Amino acid sequence: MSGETPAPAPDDELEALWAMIRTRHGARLGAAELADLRQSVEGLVTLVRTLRAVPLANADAPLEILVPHRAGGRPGA
Amino acid sequence: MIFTPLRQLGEQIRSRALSPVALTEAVLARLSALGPAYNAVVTITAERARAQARAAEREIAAGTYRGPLHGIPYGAKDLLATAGGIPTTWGAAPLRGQTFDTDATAIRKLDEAGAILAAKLAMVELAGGMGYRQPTASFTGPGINPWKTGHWSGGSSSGSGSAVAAGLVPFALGSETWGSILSPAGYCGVAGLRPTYGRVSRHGAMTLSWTLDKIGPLALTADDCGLVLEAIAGPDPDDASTIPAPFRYDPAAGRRPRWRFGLVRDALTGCEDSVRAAFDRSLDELRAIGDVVEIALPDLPFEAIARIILGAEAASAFEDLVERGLLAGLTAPEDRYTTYSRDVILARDYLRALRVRAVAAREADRVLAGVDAVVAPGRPILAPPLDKEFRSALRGTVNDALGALGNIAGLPAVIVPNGLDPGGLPTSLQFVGRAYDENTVLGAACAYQARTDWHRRHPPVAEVPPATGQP
Repeated sequence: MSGETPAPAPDDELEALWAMIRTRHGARLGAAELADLRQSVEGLVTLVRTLRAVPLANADAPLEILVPHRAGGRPGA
Repeated sequence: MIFTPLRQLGEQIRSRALSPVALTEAVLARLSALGPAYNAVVTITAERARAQARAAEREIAAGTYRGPLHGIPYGAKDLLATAGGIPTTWGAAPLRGQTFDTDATAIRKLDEAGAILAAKLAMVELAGGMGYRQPTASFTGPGINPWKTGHWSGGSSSGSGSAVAAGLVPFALGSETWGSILSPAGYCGVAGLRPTYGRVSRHGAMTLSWTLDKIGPLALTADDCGLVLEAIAGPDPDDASTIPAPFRYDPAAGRRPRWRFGLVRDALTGCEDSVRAAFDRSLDELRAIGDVVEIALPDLPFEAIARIILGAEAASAFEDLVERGLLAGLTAPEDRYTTYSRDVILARDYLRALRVRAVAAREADRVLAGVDAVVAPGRPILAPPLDKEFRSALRGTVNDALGALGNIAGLPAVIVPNGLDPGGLPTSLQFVGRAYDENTVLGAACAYQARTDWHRRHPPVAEVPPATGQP
């Protein structure tokens, strides 16, 4: 056994998202800013994965609702 | 009249022992002389204030008294639109000259209550929504803490906190998406109220996050905050998120023969020693008026929910600023590009955050239904020094599960001072309640303040010569 630690598997999703960021915004940023932005991206990807791990059922709806618009307000308001 | 709570000020004005004009001139003089020392002020609205003060004096002399805020000057966080050519800068250098044609609803309601707009107050640029991590994230400079001027006043309602603490205005309006009322109030040693989401109309206020933004008061006492909330709260056809019912501040409704306070397990994790010590002393006071029971918050990722919702909504809210290239003019370097990272929040992940938020809100309400209010340190740390990056819940460098939960679920919270550390910086205590329970959390905070005197202590502020009237 060589005792070497295997390299982590590539995070395809993270790299695809980072590539999108670089395509959209990379040209206007310097190396330090890109490095900082990469950390932000990694942080956000970690957060969304935390949320993806929470089990949800079809009935778990957001609290946010559509309030159909009509000038003057809705009935009962 | 400086450092006098609103209820007493209002009575002095109502009884004509104090002139609104004299009070306004004193406030304008303090704003002018001391505001720059704390980077607290963007615009002193002297002309409007004097006209409003004269009108208040005439009305009261004629027997028309509008209520406890009639004739009392205040400052408004500079994300609330004000008409008449008064700039509304959002704390952002590229928007220094921005103006609006109409007042925000909260400003209009304070006009109707007879209050007097004396100043637009400094704030962190774009209310901190670009991911700032240092106090110097405003074109007005870092908010300076009146207790110790090498330290931050907190944000994003920086000027609102320091102006009330230094006695520049009797009360101020701030806003909170995640921490922006509680932070400056706590660091500056004043009271702050984050109302239930939807309690106060956001029409005319800058949007950072549609489902997280709330407008609320900062003042010397919790009772003062209740008086201001009643004036600014209520349904507004221009803001569909407003709660359909009016709000009446009812101190009697907020009294209990014996309180039941919830204390979250591990509430003190990550807190500085002086915060812990002050909180322990506060618990002694709270145990004298009630029971303190341990509670456990639901095991859900509140901070992840808050950060994804805030990130996605802020990215959308400021899309036009990005497209217009205005980010390059922001003061904090990280504010010029951090928002780009939010492009990675996919629609499905944003919707998942909203759905998990609903689960969190229901489970939290089940826990909170067993107590009158949850108590916790107002801030885990003392006001940070001006010259360093600070730890931030938004960036995940400090834990703020209760703050995250309170904001994602739209829950009300009151923060009040509960001590001074050996170096002279304030510590604070917060009460968080069930949705719509502002009277309860205000009552709890008032009960605490009736037994303590931290709200009567004020920072060492320079004397200002008596006002001599209009220039």
